Formats: sequence, structure tokens, C-alpha cells
Amino acid sequence: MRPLLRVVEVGRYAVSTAVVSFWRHRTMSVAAVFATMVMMLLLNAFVIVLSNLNVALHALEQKVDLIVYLKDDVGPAEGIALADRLRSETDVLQAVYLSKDEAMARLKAQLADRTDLLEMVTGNPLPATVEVRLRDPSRIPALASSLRTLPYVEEVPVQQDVLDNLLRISRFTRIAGAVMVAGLLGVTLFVIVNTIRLAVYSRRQEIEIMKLVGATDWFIRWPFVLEGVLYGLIGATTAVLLVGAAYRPMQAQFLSLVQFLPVNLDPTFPLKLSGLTAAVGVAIGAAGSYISVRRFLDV
Amino acid sequence: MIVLHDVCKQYPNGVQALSEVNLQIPERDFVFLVGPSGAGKSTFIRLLIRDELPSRGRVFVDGQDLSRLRRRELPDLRRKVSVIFQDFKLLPDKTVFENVAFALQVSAYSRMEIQQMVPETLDLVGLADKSDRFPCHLSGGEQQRVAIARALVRRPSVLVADEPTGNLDPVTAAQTVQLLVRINALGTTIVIATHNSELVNTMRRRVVALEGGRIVRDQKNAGYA
Repeated sequence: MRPLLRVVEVGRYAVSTAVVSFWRHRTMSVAAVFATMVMMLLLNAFVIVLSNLNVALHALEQKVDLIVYLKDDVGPAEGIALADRLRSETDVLQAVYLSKDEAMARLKAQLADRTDLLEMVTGNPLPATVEVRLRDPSRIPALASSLRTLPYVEEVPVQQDVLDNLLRISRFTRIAGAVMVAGLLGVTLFVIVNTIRLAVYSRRQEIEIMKLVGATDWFIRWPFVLEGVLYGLIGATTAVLLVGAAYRPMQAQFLSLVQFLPVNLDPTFPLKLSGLTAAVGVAIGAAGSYISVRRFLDV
Repeated sequence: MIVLHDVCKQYPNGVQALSEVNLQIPERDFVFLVGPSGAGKSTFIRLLIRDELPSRGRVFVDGQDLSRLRRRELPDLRRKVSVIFQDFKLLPDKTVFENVAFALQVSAYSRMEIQQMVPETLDLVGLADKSDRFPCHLSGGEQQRVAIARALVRRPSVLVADEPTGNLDPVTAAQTVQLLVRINALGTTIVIATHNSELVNTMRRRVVALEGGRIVRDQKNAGYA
């Protein structure tokens, strides 16, 4: 038989068998769809919390500045050149030169209501600085030590313990988040496998007969895998619709409650989350069916 | 051509089902495999469709060593060597037509081919008028003929049957075997495991008798005992 015709016939058979079986064993199908939906809702909740936590941590990380104090005898030309050079580096988000006068002006503005303190200051003791903000704050110590070697740099202080703590917390949060998502995916797969296994078990005689009349493993597997895809797709779509309906109102509620915490306001985030949910649902449904049917193929 | 060379089969529980079996079954042969329960008949059949592997020795079908068959080559063997069982193994939620068509679907035959081949085969087994019935609406003999039609529809070179008349009354059993004789006349090698002595005595074909897993007699135009 021509290969293309064979693919078409197998495809037709697999799709029609999957749909018929989905309908014929509808109690089981509803159970599998429901299990997928609950798991996808949990996954969504996890991803939403983690992504917001990530945004908050990222915002916090970027608040860490590196301040390069320049020697008093250094003119603005070197300072501006250093800021320009730093800006050209990919790691650097922002680099601003602040002259002695500008530093003083800023201090005056900050202490506008404490003129008594300002009166104690004679002349301008403030050094010129370059304020650097990095994309990745873990690069701060390395950059600080390389800057310290420059002849016109007086000092580059680094609050190592604060930086270390922040980096440790954010690393831990990200790893724990990844582990929890992986764990949840594992549990989802386990639930789906066991739900589908019941459906496959009720059809083991059919599988045995298929093997005996010469069906290939994949011929037997395809309808089950497609049925799993159907469970995953319907379960994930339901979860996406529920999350879609609840996401904006909950976000608004959250924003009004905790205004100081940065949240994920990326407008494409819900769409990305929907895509991720659908893809994970389909993949887990297909993988669950594949695993469930495997042990029944040894006939 | 089927060849069994020095075949032994011992199950994991220690039961020795076959011992030093040597046998040749040429193409178009018609063989009764006889013997009491536990003689090794079913194991013999299961070795031919490679549902089991011998513990020692070799089984060849058309020159192919079944022990060396890869998993993905198994469907090809099962299409060449069809099998029918005492309990028919029909799918209860499929009609007669669908049960037979099933064997073609798994080999990805087109719908047109299925529409042509299934009625031809149902006609051969005398069930042309019952193609829309479900197995539960058929008699035992009719169900066995559906199983034969399913085994036959892809024109296998070998048809093996494990106690095909075990659940049938004597008249229906005789009709079923007559059907297998006709199929044999069309060129298919037939191997039937049975302990139906009356049938074997009537047919006077080649008889291979097993006892305790060993071949104790291999005789042409023979009877049961």
C-alpha cells in the first residue's frame, strides 16, 4: 500500500476511533477532563504567583546601584567618558555621571527641609560619582573590582552582605518555583495516567485482538494518544477560560490592596499563559495516554 | 513452510510444555494437532504466532526465524499467520462486518478495499446476510465463522486454530471444519489444535499427536488414536 494512503487511512481511523471512544466512555472522559482542568488551574495559579514574585525580585535587584566615587582632582571629562564606556557594555542598564556640583545640588534638594544640617557643611565635600545600574546584580562585585583599578577612581563600595542575601533569596525562589512547577507537572501526569489507564483497561480485549490480527503498536496507540490530547485540550481550554475570566478582576483587586509591590503588568502575559496551559495540557494528555497504553501492548 | 527445530518450552513457573519438538509442515498442508489437555497444543499454536518464544530450539515460518523477529516485524508475521480461538475473541460492540473489517483496518486498507474484501469473505463463510448483526445475536457456530472470516480476510498463508470447535455442537463443528477444508483447498496452510476425536477420525488428514509436550505420532491420513 502506498505510504501516503496508509497515513491517511491510519489518521482517519485514529481520529474517528478517538472521538467515538471519547463519547462512548464519557464518564471516564469527563473524569479525565476534570482532572486535567484542576491540575491546569493549579499550574496557572503557581505560574501567576511565581511570575509576579519574579517581577518583584527583578525590580528589587535592579534597585541595587553601584556607585563609583571619583578622585577630587578628576575633571568631568574622565567621569563622562567612564559613564559612556560603561553604558556601551551589554550588562549595564544605566550609567550616569554626577559632578561634585550636581551631587551637592541633589543633597540640598534632599535636605531642603533640614537647612540646619546643610549649614554645617562648608564647601563641597561630596565627590563626583558615576552611578551604575546593572541588568544582573550578581555581576556587581566583578565590575567593582575592575573599576577600582582605574587611576581616577577613589573608591567603589559594595555592600556585599546585602547583595549576597538578595541574590540568595532570588535564586532560592526561582529554584523552588521551578521545582514546584516540575512537581506539579509530575503529579498531573500521574493523575492523568491513572485516569486514562482505567479507560485503557476496559479496552484491553480490543487491544489484545488488535495485536493478534497484526496491528502495529503505533496503530493501537494513536487513538488512545489522540483521546489523551482531547482530554488535555478540553481540560486546559476550560482552565484557560476560567483563569481568563478571573485574572483581570483579581489583579485589580490585588493592585488596590498592595500598591507598593510591583506586579506583572505585561499585557501579553495572559496570552502567553493560555498558550503555555494549552501546550502543557495537550502534552500531558498525550504523554499520559502513551504511558497508560504501553503496558497493555505486550500481548 | 513451518519448521520446528528441537523446540523446548518451559514456562517461568517450571511447567515443561514442549520438549524436543521437531516438525515440518509444508505449504498447503492440513494438520490436526491432537492430544489430551496439557499436552502442549496451545503452546505449539502460541509459538507459531510468536505469542511465546521457545526456551530452546528454533521456529521458522517461511524461512523466518521467529526468535530473531524484531518487535516491529511482529505485525507482518501476524498478518501472514492468522489465528482463531475457541472463545472467538470477537469485539462485542462491533457488527459482523466491522469485526472482519477490523483486521483490514489495522493494516490500513482503504475503505474501498474494505468494502470489497469483507463481503467476499463473509460470502465464503456463509454470513453475507448477517453482516449488520452484533456477535451477541449470532449462534456459536456463526460467531466462529466470523472469527474465521476475520482471520481469512487478509488472505494469510497460514491459518492456525486453537480448539476452534471446542464451543460448538457436533454438526456445527463439522461444518466449521468443512469450511477450513475449503479454505485449505484455496491454498492456505491449516493447523488445528483439537481433542475432538470424532472430527479427526472423519477427516482422515495428517495428525500430529502430542503427549507430555513430546510428539508421539506424526501420520498422514490418520485418525485420532
